[in-house]
Amino acid sequence: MEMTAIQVYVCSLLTLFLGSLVALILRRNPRALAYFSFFLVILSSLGIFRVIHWVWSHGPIQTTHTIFSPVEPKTACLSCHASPETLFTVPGLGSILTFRLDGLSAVFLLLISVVGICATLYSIRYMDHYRRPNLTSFYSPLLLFLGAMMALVGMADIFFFFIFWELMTLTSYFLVVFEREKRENLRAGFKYFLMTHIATACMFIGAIIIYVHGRSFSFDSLRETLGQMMISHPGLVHLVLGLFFVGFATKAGIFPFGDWLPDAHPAAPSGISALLSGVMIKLGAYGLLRVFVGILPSSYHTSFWGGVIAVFGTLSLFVGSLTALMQRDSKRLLAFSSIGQIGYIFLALGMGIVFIRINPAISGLALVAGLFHTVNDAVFKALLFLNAGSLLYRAHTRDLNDLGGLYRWMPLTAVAALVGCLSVAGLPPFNGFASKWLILQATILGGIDRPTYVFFGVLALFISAVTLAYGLKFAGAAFLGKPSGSLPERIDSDVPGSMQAAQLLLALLCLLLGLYPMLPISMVYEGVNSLGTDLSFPPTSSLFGSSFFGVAINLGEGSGGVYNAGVLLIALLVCLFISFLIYRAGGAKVRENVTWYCGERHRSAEVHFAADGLYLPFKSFIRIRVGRYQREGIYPTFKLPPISLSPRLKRIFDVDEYFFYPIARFSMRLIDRFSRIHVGIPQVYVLWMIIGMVLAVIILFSLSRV
Amino acid sequence: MSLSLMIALLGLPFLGALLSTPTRERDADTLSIILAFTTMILSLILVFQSRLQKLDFSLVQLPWLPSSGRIFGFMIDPLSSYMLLIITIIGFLVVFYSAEYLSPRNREHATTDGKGRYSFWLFVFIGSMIGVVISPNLLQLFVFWELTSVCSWALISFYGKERSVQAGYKALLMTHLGGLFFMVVLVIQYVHTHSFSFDSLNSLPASLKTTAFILLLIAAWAKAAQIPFYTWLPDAMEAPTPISAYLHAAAMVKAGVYLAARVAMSTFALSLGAGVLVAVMAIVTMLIAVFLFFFQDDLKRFLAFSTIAHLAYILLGVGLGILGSRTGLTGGILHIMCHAFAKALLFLSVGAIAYSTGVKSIRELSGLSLRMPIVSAGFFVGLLSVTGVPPFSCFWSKYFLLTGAIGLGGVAGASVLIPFILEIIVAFAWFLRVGQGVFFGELSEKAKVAHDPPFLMSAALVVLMIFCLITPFIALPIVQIILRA
Repeated sequence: MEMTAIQVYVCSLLTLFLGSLVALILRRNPRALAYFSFFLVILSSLGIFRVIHWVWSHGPIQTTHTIFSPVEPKTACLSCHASPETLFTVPGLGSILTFRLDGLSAVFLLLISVVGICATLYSIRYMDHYRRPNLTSFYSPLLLFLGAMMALVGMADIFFFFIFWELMTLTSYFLVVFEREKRENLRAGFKYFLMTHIATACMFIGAIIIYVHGRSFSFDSLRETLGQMMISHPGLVHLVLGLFFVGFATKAGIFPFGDWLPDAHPAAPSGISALLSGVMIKLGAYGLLRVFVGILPSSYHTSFWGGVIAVFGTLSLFVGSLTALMQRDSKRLLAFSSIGQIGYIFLALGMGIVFIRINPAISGLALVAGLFHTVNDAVFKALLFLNAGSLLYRAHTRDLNDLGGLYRWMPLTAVAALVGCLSVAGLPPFNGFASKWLILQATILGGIDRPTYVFFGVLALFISAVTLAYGLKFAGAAFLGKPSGSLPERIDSDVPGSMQAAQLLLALLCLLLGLYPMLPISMVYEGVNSLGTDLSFPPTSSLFGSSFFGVAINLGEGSGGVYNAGVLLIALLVCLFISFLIYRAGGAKVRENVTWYCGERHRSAEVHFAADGLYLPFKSFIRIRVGRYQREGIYPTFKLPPISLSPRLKRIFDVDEYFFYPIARFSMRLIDRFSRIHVGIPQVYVLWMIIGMVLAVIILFSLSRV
Repeated sequence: MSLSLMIALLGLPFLGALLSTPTRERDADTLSIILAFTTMILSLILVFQSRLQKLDFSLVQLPWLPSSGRIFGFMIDPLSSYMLLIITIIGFLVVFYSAEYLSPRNREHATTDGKGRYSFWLFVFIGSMIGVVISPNLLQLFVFWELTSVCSWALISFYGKERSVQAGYKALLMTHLGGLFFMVVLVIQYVHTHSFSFDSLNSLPASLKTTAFILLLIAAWAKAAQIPFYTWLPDAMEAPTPISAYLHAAAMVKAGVYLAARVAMSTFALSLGAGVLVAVMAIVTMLIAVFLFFFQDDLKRFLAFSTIAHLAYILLGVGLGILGSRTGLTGGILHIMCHAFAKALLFLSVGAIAYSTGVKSIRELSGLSLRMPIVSAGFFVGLLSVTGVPPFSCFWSKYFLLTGAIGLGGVAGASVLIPFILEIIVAFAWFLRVGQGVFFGELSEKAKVAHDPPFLMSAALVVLMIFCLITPFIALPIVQIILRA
């Protein structure tokens, strides 16, 4: 049966949702459950790939039809009206379930599926680390999580966008607290859920504010309403945009909103950390683009908030990367690295948003740089987290001080980790270089109009060096050098084949995306172009050149920079070869000797050059001193005092004590006085009866008189 | 046909009360379940047959109380059908659950006798709640209203301990005092209009109308445990847990908000002051209830305060409706059903915990999800529902309430919105903290004996979990019809 793209998309989503329900039943055999989940992820990803291919070849798709409707979905532009048939509508709600798949959705769908496949493949063997008989509480939320993310990027209606957003947060909470026995995992999960829930509430309020001024929740209607609100209530528009910014920044992990990241990522299983850091955070960037470029009409607000986004991005990349330098826990280091890299992304996206009105070419360049870095960061961050997971799986420790020299036993993982680190640092020919170069080009070329961005660009350049430093700390301390002697477990071999396959796949992607940057760039540019109808970016070939192996930026005033990956790779290899020849020709002898410890004998663990020993001068330089208060590092941590209110406060609200019991006691006393009438002497009772009768007769007489 | 159905619907629970009391325990359980099930089926048939139209059968005239309509009779209209669904479905599930809960196997309160007394009062309660919602006028409503208070007293003091008896007495006194205010309104109404019907309040002069409305509101507040009459509800947690779930979360307290909603919808042109009063008192109640979360160690008392806050949501919706926001009213009425199912689920999960471990203290329990997966799933689904996480039920009602509040605009909207959001977030944080603390973590001493309860209790939990997901689909269309009328 020939299925339309939307039907394929919905079927892929349903596979994951129903699969998550089925996983609730398959409790007995965890390995079977793992393979079943992996199979479902592959199946739905195949559907998604088909949809992505359709979107790239035919353009954006929007429909409100049901999946069983015989009518073809409209493949026309965004301003076309969808048919009045609806898939799902809740009466009284201003929204209907509408799908819109355009270039931007396609980019993120690709990310979600690829990283999802790698993470699920990895988890098949990785979850043995936890030694649980029952993995339902992992795979069921995982499938739902992937499904929610895939559904999220296809929504054209912000109400259902938020429903899937919360579903994503909810399922990821259960995944983060998978290892429930440890209290720090519970605390991390609680903080994560609370912060992101508050963020979603903020965004939701923002959306409702626009809704009450307009007709419905669909993106097109929101755009119109915002345009009107800018004239009538400009302050309210700022409030709404601020709420959206806080919401997306919290999810993305921008400093200071992303404080949940450093705790949540070490707590989660590594496959999930890869998904969280690789994909879920990037959905914050997706939301940002949809709202600030897609919904917000270009105006003064665009420039202002674009600037805010860029500033927070720079702050984040600065603080995040410097803090990553000083971590000893491998996953915490990578979490701070995520905060840093998302800072790069927000810097580029912010710049792109600012320049929409000023210079569309630079805006296009910056937006592409930001989105390309999103794609790259997803790939290499997922890779790095999987490597950290491999270390945890084999060596049972996350502490970089205990690791060392593991390349002898885990060669493939070591190679993958090195590729990941060189990518995050931005070394050619890997993918990180291409996107970072584009970001720097954008900031410097854009600095011609707005000089502040040159400052941001210089800061970003400096932080690249820091990124290389912490990347080398991670890979070097773990894999290179001598074994430390304080490993918890003896390592005999590398991780199992499926885990290696996942890592190597991502490493290969890093290399390929770096060697052929035009492929992802054209993908991403298509996404950027599909965001709005009043954006006019120059076509791909004129902005980025048409060479396949490299990028040639041309902003219309001549060349803005050229990068040819193939040439650079060949040059690097040639240089390496020449240096190898020189080394050979020199014929130096290599002599190994035991280190001299001034006559004392030490265990290797004591004198091992641990990860903590790296960058010591830098560490003492990075600190905050305000008056007499001094702390190491620049990442603020507050220890919240436990909230315990004094019981005295409770008594204020104890209405019983103040109001009811006194009234009750008073009434009792009153009634006691009345009960003294019952003296027990019959004659007194007769007296009362006679008085009563007389009174009654008097009253009756006066009534009948009237 | 509908009339005989209504008579049967009202009479069957009372008949069931009489029948199930003297029978032997095992048979009594089966009989109760069958009768509760039949009641539920009857009410479903009635709702479908009426097709959510208004059907009014006024039957009896009282010779010494001449009035412009007949006094006693039956009426079913969209709001009644809505409440009927809640009452009978949750009633059936609670009867189902109690069959296992009140048994010698209950570690907290092993019960060997008294089942007869329990079934009697429970069925009388179901009957009187049905009576409340199918009453055509305020007088008949009042009769059944007081009957529910009596049932509540009897059921709270079921265990016969000193504290239970005191708690029952306190509940009876406070709700009855509210009922006295109700009686005053009946008198005012009769004296001025010679009729007890719901919309006869419209013909009162403006100031008297507002006074009558406020007096009725006080009765509703007392019944629904709002400020300042809320103290009976936490103490009423001495009742057996299925009773807490039914009376004090799903049904009896909903009678209070039902009265408020009914009167607000039948009365036109209520002064803005009345609406503001309702909304402000609702917000104050919410904040105080959330504040008192900080001091609770007992799981049931914690849920009691949450119930108080959620009833405040419903009254906030009613207040917003009076102030002109239709969306707010939708949210309030929708919340009646969504909250009923979610809170019943939470209470029944806590009951299952008490059943198997004998403990209800938050401090002493942890790691329960390792031993009781179904109950943990139930509690978490209930938690997520009640705090308004999509796609569970209360999210939709909270959305409507938020939209209504924002739609008010200006200072009024902001002053309703900000405490409301604060309350939502603090309640969410507390619920998550309690849920995590009790269910996740290492297995504590008291939790080592935990196990999933037998079929009768687990099945009720699973059914309620399903309802937590599908409630908006059932309820929203009905609420739309209610508001259209």
